[in-house]
Amino acid sequence: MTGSFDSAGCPTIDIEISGPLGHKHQFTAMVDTGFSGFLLLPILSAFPVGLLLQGTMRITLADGSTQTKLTCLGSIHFDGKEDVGVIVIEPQNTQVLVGMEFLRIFNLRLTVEPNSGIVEIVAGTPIPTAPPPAPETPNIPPAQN
Amino acid sequence: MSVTKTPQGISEKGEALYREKFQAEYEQLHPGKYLAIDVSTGAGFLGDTPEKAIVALLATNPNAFYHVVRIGASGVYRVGYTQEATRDGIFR
Repeated sequence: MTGSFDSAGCPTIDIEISGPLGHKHQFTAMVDTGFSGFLLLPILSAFPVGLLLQGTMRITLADGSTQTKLTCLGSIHFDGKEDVGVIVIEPQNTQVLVGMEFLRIFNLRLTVEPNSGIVEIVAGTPIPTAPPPAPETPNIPPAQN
Repeated sequence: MSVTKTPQGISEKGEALYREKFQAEYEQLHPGKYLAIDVSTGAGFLGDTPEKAIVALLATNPNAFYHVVRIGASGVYRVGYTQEATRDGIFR
């Protein structure tokens, strides 16, 4: 998948977001590797998606201070896949952000070349799976002499 | 236990419950994990990720108001920006 740079020179990709109602809404999201979360969404964008704002959490800002945010579960649809994560709701009208949890959950690799205008987001290295457990040794009673 | 009515109230109640019921033990046993706290019942649900903790909580009480904590950290996530302390009316 390819993305693009916005007018500020930041990498963006197109995603779809859905909540419990299942209706998908398309957004252009900035890929922000300085954001450790999954998705940050302005509150006015959360209502049409039908997200259930039941939770709160504190997030740490760049200056070390913390702020309380509303939060909820929701899905991102990207490149034919869907995954659920925690959505941080921003009360101000900011840009939609996807962060490091998005890259981790979808197992993606981000390539950004500002001089070439390339924003590329592709499947990351497959995560090694644990080997299957060794078969149990049959419980054979000791031979009788 | 009374139910809070505002996001700030949910957060403050969740933080208070965390300090009273979980902090001392969980910061020894589960640093870096995530805890979702049902602010109505005081029940806590532990997870390796915040979504796992929230899913466990909602499985027992789908309508719960909850607060999520990353054990031993000031915030669950970090962002790369700062903001004015003055915000719109939602958290006042």
